[in-house]
Amino acid sequence: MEFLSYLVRRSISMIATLIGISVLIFLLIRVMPGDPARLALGTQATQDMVEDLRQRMHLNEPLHKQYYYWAKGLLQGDLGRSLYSYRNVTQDLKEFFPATIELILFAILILVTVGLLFGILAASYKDTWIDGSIRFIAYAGVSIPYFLWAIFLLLIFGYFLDIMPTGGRLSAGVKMPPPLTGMVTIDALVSGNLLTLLDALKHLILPAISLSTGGIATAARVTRTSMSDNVKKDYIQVAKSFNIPRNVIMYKYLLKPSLIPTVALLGMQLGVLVANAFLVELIFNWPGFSRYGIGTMLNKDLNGITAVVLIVGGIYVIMNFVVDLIVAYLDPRIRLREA
Amino acid sequence: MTLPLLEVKDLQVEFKTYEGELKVLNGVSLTVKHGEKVGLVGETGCGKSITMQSIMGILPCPPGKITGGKVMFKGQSILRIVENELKGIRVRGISYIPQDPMSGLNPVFKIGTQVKDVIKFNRRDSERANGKHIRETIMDAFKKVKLPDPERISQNYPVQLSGGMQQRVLIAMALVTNPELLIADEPGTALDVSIQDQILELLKELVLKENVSILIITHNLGVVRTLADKVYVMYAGNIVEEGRTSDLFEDPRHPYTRGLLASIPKITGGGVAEGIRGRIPSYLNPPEGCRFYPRCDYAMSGCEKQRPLLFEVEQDHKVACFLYKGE
Amino acid sequence: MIREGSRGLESFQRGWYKFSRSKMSIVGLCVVLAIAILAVFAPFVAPYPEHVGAFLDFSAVFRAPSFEHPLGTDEVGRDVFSRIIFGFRFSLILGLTVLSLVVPMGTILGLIAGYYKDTWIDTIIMRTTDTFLSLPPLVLALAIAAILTPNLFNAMVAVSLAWWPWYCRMIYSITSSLRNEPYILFADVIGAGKIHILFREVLPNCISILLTKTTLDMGFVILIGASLSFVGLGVQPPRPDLGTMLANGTQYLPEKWWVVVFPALAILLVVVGFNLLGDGLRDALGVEEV
Repeated sequence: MEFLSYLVRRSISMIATLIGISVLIFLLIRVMPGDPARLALGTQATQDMVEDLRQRMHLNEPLHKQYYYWAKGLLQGDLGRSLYSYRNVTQDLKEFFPATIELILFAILILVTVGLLFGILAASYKDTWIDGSIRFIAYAGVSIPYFLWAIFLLLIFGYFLDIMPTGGRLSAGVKMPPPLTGMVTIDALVSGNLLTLLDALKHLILPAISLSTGGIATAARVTRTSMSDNVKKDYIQVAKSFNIPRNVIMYKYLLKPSLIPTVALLGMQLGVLVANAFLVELIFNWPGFSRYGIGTMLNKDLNGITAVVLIVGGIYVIMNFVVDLIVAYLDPRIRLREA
Repeated sequence: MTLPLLEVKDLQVEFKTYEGELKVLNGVSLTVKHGEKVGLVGETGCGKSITMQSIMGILPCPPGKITGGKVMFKGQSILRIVENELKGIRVRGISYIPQDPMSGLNPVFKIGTQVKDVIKFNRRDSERANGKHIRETIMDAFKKVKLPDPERISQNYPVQLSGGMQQRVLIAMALVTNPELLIADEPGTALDVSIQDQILELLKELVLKENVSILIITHNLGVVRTLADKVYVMYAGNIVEEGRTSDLFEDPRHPYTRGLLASIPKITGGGVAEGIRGRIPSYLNPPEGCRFYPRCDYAMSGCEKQRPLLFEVEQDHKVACFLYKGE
Repeated sequence: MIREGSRGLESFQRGWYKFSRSKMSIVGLCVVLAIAILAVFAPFVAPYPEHVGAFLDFSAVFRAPSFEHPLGTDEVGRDVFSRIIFGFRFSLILGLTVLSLVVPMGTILGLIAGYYKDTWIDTIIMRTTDTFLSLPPLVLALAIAAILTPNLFNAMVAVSLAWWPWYCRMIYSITSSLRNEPYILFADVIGAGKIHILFREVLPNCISILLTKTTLDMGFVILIGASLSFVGLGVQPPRPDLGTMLANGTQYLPEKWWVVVFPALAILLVVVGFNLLGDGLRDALGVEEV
């Protein structure tokens, strides 16, 4: 029951934040120097054309009214037309979005499993060579920027060793599976097309790893620290004094409280993942939403940029929300204390 | 003379730190007999926690190092080095009640789960392991410590209980393994005075009813006076006085004990309580002789070079002080 | 977490002793110093300073690393080594400028918000901060840089706008938890002005954590700057920036690998250097939550 009330509280706060983001983005776009209509039409357009566009974009009206129009459109799913390609932004997004989601999901998968695994191993074998090497790898993961990882991995596996494809989602000549979710791997799996699945996975691995390196390092490090801190806590001493076997202490009584900081940090990690996807998609030629986003930015497509930032912000907030819920589930102190 | 339940003989422990090696325990000896309630009293930093950890086998080594002495439980040596942080070699028959109930219970697991695991991993082979038996044991134990509504408490998380209730849960956990010796670390210090009183009364009752012995580690003379039959006074890694509680409080002999008792503010009698001048010595380079020498008002010339052993001043009352040599 | 304001020289010496015990921290310090020296004396250290501007020499295009060009030449014949040195210069300029804007601004806002906790001042400041924080900094910086014309200055503006909330939030949490400490309340009671309280009582407690975070952030800020340039929204060619060099070079993989690998290693060096230094500071100063 208390969980429900926590859920409600967090949902309200999340919605407030989403509204806040929309205001921020809106203000940012409008406040930046430059006339949006002029920017869209270019220097060649006549003043009349610019004025015309300004009318249609409600640019001459007071700011809060502009926000109103914009927000109304948003809620109806209308993100405006791309000022560059003249296509519906929402449509563009729908096309590119699943690819990014697929990439991010994979990266999360790798991050969580490998990161936790490393962290637990490092804590179990603390101060041995296993611990030392994991810490070194973790350090490398965090210090070497993700896009460098991308380049190095691409260089080594894609070019020098030539065992991985160097770009795109599917090799030439491989057919796309029937679009169910838009995510090639899942669609291929569902339609039973194993060869396509394998090919898609091969293309997915390098970018996903590049994205996840920083997160793996952080997850491993935080888990390790958290476990080695908690091992000194009284309740572990008590458990030891009651002869609870090492495995039970380790994987039950120590693990659960130690996971909490890691999961909490995960929320921030996810935001970073979404942002980093931008560059990784660029390097690996991954036809995702971030690449589209960069396109809009380079082309000064205001509507596109707005949409992209909004989506990214929205994903970030929602993911944080989900992470908060997981943390509340793991740690009764949080949900019970606030009640 | 029956074999004492617990016997610590001349325990010496060192601690390795960044600044050097701290010679913390300098030959500590104490005994607990069957049915006895023994108090180990000393100010913070005197080494009583380390003594307790050595007895329980949870002294972290490194940085700790046991350099001498023996610890015997029921005639068998239980002194051991624990290298792995997670291995708990428990001594069957001794249970530990930690100091701070809030941190003694794992915050993310239900109370019932934790107690159940204690039972599960400590039953003798002859006992049955089915769920019903375990549940009954838990309810029994909770009733013994006078916890209201044991069913509900079992389903609660530690954060939902008050300090006093958490402490009772810990006592219940300690009892559930049918120990012969309880080691209570600063019982009640983390609680309000009135709750602390209740807990101490509870402990007194339980010791009688369950026929266990108890070793109480504390810095609080009041606790010792309430609960203990026999008291060991500890200072800077040494036992400086030992005796029956009544003897000790009425007729303290060691200058340190005297100082301690004089420091207790009295409701009657007026006057400001005096403290003891000086501070505990550095364990890095402890004095060669009596460790209390720098602070002692009765110091004599021999005290600096030689460490006094325990001299008997009356029956069952011993003092480690040259003042009483040859009495 | 909070320690009383340090006592000058003595604590500096103690801090240095602790710092110097960690080899990795010393390595970090050396790396950062080396890069700084290279950056400051760039025009004198770089073997071919004229390659930094608009320069073409098609006869020297794509030379592999050799004695004359230790790191090779790029697609228009410019010496990679010199360009990297100047790249360091621009990166450091970016980092220092951004941080010297962001740190004071964020700190002051955080101090004010924390001191006036639970008033409307607090609400306005922190709600704004939180909103900024709910966007990943890279994306925000990209968006801002996209809207403005791409150049070094605007890149700095973009990164600054994306980065200040972190300092505000950090100082806010320290200030608001310190607010109820006895010595702060006493200072208020005896009539010390708010400015005095904030700057003389609260701020010294933040110094260790500020120093650590700023150092660690240098690496991140430079990284974001490089990311912006990589995408094309930062420093514009022909100015050498590590990010642009990286971007330009990726098309020539894998045969002309040195055009990519060396700038990449340069970025790596900068980030690792500041990370090591920052970690060392964190351990030496005893800061836990950065």
